[in-house]
Amino acid sequence: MANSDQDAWAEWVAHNLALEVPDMALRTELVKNGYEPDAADALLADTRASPAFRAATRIGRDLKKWTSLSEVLLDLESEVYDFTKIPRVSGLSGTEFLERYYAANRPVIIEDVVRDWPACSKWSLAFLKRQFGTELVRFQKRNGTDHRDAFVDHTRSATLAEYVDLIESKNETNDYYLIAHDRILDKPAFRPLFDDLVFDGRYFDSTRAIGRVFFWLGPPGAMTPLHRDLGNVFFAQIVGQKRVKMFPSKQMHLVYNEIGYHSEVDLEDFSPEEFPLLDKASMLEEVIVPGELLFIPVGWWHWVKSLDVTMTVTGNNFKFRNSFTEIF
Amino acid sequence: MSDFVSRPPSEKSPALTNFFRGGMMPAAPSDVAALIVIDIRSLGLPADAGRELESQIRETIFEHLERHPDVDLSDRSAIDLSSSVFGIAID
Repeated sequence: MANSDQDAWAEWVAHNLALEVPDMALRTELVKNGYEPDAADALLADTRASPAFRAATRIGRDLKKWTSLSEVLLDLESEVYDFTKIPRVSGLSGTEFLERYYAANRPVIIEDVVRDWPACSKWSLAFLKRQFGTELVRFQKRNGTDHRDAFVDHTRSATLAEYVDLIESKNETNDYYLIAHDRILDKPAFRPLFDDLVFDGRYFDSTRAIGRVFFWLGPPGAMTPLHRDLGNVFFAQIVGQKRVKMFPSKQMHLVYNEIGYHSEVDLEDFSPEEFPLLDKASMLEEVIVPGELLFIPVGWWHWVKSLDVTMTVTGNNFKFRNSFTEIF
Repeated sequence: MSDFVSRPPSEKSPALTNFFRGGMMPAAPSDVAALIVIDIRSLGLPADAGRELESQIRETIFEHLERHPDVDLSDRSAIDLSSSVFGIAID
C-alpha cells in the first residue's frame, strides 16, 4: 500500500474513532481493504495512543454537544415553524420579515415583491437576444455525471445570442448554465436590466444592488446541487419554474458536508443506505413560480432544478446586516 | 458509509479542484472602482483608426503598469477578466 493510501486510512480511522465509531467496524473495513488483521489492530492501537487523537476525541465530544443542541433548538422551533413546507406570505412589513424570517434564520416565499417587477413581463429569450444578443457572456459548460462538477469553474464564452441558441437546441439538459459567478450584470452593457428590477424598500437597499445582484439563465434541467451560501440570499424567479429542496442550517450534521460548502449527496441519485442520516433531516420542497421571491437564510442547504427555461435573479443587498462570511 | 462518519478512502470519489470560491453566490461585490472602461466610440473615428488608437492606449497603459513596482504583468490576461473588465470600445 502506498504511503499516501496509508495516510488516508490512518486519517479515516482517527476521524471515525474520535466520533465513537466502534473499533470492530473499522477493523472489518480495514481488513476488507487489504490490511492484515494484525496491522489493522496496530493501526487502531497506535491511533488511540496518540496525544493528537486525544485532542481529536475532545473535539469530537464538543461536536456531539453542538449537534445535539442544534437538534434540540430545531425541535423547539418546530412549535412555531412548520419544517415540512416553506410558507408563502404577502403584505409583510420590513420589521415582520426581519423578526419572523431574516433574524430567525427561516426561509419564506414572498408573493408580492417580484410579481410587479418589469422584468417579469419583459424578459424572455427573444428579448435578451434582441437587446443584448451580440454581447459576450460567460457560462458554465458542465460535463460528467459527478454532481460536484457543478461547483467547479467550467467557464466558456459566447455571445448571448449563441448561448440562447444553445439553450434552445436541447429539451432538457444540465450541460449549460449561466450562473451567478458568470456575473453578467456586472458588465456595463447589461446595466439596463437593473431598470427592470424594483428593490422593495421594506427589505432591500437599492443603492447597494450593483455587484451584489446576479442573473441566472438556464435550460430545463439546469441544476445546482445541494449546497449552502455564505450569507442571506434572495432568489427572485422571473421566467419559468424551479423546484427547490431545502434543509435547515441546524442540520448540517445530516447532509454529508465533508468539505467546502457542498454536500456529498447527489439528491437526484443516491442510495439511502450510503447516506442514512439524510433520512433524519427535514426537507422542505417547493416549486418557485415566476413573480415569487424565495428567501434563503444563511447556512440553509438548498438544491435547485429548472423545470423550464428559467431566468432568476439572486442577490444579497438586504437592508439588514448580511456579512457573515467569517463564520465559515 | 452507513457504519462510519466519513467515507472509507476506498469509496471516496476523486477530489475535484477549481471549486468556485465562497459558494455559488459570489461572496464579495465587484470593486467597480477598479474598472477601467474607455469608450472612444463618441470620437466617431473610422474603424481602422479606432483600432489603432485603442492599441496605442492599451500599450501605453501596459507600459505604465509594467513600470509599477508592485505589478506583475507576466500574464496580461490576468487583468483582462474575459474582456469584461478591462475593455476599450472602438466600434
